[in-house]
Amino acid sequence: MDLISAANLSQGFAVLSDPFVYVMLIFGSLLGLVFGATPGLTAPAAIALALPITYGMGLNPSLALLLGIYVSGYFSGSIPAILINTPGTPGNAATAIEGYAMAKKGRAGEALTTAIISSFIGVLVSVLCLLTLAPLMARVALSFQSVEYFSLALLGLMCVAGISTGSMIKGLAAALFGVLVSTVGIDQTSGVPRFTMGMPNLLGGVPIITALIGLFAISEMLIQSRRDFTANTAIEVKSAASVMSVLRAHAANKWLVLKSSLVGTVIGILPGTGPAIASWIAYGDALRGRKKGDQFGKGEVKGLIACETSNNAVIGGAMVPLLTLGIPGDPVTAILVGALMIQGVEPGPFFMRDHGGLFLAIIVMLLMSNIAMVMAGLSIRRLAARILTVPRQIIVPVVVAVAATATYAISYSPFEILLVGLFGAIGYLMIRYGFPVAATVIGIVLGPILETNFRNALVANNMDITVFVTRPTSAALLLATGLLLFFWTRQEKRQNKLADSLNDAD
Amino acid sequence: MAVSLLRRTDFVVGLALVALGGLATWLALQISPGPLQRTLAPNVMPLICSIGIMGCGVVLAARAVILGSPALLKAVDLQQLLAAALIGVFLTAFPQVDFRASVVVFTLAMMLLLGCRSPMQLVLTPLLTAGAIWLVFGHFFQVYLPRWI
Repeated sequence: MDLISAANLSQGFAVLSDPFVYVMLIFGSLLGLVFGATPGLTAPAAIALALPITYGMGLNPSLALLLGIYVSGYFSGSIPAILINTPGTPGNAATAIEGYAMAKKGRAGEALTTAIISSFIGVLVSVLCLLTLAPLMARVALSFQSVEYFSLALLGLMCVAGISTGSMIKGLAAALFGVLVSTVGIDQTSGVPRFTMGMPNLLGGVPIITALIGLFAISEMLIQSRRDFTANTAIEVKSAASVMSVLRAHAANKWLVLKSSLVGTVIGILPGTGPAIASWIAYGDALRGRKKGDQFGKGEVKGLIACETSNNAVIGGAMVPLLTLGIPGDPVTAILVGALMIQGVEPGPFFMRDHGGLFLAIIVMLLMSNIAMVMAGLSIRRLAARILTVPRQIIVPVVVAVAATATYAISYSPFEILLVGLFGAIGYLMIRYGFPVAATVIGIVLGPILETNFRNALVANNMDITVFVTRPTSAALLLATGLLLFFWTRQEKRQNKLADSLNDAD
Repeated sequence: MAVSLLRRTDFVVGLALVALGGLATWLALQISPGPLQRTLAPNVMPLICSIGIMGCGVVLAARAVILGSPALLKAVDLQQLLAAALIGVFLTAFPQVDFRASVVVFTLAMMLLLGCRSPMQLVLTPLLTAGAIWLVFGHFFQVYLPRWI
């Protein structure tokens, strides 16, 4: 059975003839660039805020906008990491080590250009992997039953603890809280209301976009409202490095580039993980392969290449489980699930069979977003320091006003606007005390998948819970969950040691 | 000993998780079992989560006792409290008040609260924000925004 037909090919490439798609791609790239580069604002926040305006657009322009934000936002978190030693997103934390050291030595332009080119290559390799792996995985997914879906969602939920940059226990607690939030409202099977406190507005559950806007946007604005909040001074980009010289550096490190791209792609494929893990693993790998003369921790370009390539390679990888299983690979794809469903498209095992043209259109738009990211990134290199100096007195009220309007645009519901405030306060407390909000978001998305499939699997197998270990695929997934938990624990210890040793070296 | 433990972040956060999980467990136990049928009761998943959250809280608190933990962070300062109150008022009023007025007043008040004293910024930012929101959401994407006029 061919999942992609010749007709799908023409449908996929038809997006290239829609001028509105180009407009949205460029707009999305710029928006992603600004949000990713502004400390405290992230690509998921930008996507959550932009999602309501896609209601009135067609499918392709709305995806062009969101994918443009996605690709640019993941790259541009490296701008504050390089210029002010403050990662724009957790995925750029490792970038700050080498990038900021390069900037301090007067090589800010070279570091930014390296980040742009590395990000471009990372996305390119991962999209090629998406193109080849997704049809294969879709075929496998067609044989999945509730048992396998439950185990896969559980794998995602456990992996989500790995996103936590602080403590795995906090990551797990945050993920469980997300699943708990997803159970609010009427239970689909029994019709019984859960945690509604007698409020009719909660019968339909907590709207995911509302929770996302609160958790990602409002919480960060509350952080920035602290009296002692200080923005670091940005290093000026005095000269933009030549693209050719940076390309030559990549060519000289071609195996590192390829390995980091594949690391990012594989980490992205694992449900529930994200760029933070990918970039640390790739950086650690580059560190282990250091040669005499390499200056890791003091501005080594190899470290920067490894981090940024793997950070952006997560994008193509994360789209694999989203489009073939309906399970998000990272926080942004958790939001994209909602974006696709708004447009009447359900991601999952039948996606490629029913929407082969759209699958190819997404591939084409990811590649176009990648090109737009490079163009936008190279154009603003000299202005990058200025983006970082936008004062919080402007950022905070503007983002809150946009968040309120975006929420209102979804449902015209006063209750949902209040929910945004509530989730903003919850998100603030989570960030303040070291809980990853991304884990909660993935928990909210995976919650219904977990519960429905757990229930269906048990009902179909006479309430026999051993079915989860007697079916081979499910058993393998559960085994993988255990192994990954073990791996993440070791990785967490290694990262802490690595960070400590680099701090000591300073 | 008890007082010094209450000054450790992870110990207090762990206790808060135990309290949150405990409350959620109690609420989950109140959920009606629904029509009797051969399937999971509607409170099974909430109970798994709430008990899991309590377990995480116990581990965090125990780890703070055994391994220690950084000093307790203050949750908010006065400026944040005022900002949160301002955001709360703005979000509550948003559906009832003309959005242009509410956005301009909120933006101006928040800018002043966060220490902006530049007359140019104080005039331009609220007007540009309200104008841009109207242009993008109201005009371009045809979102019906609350208006008095």
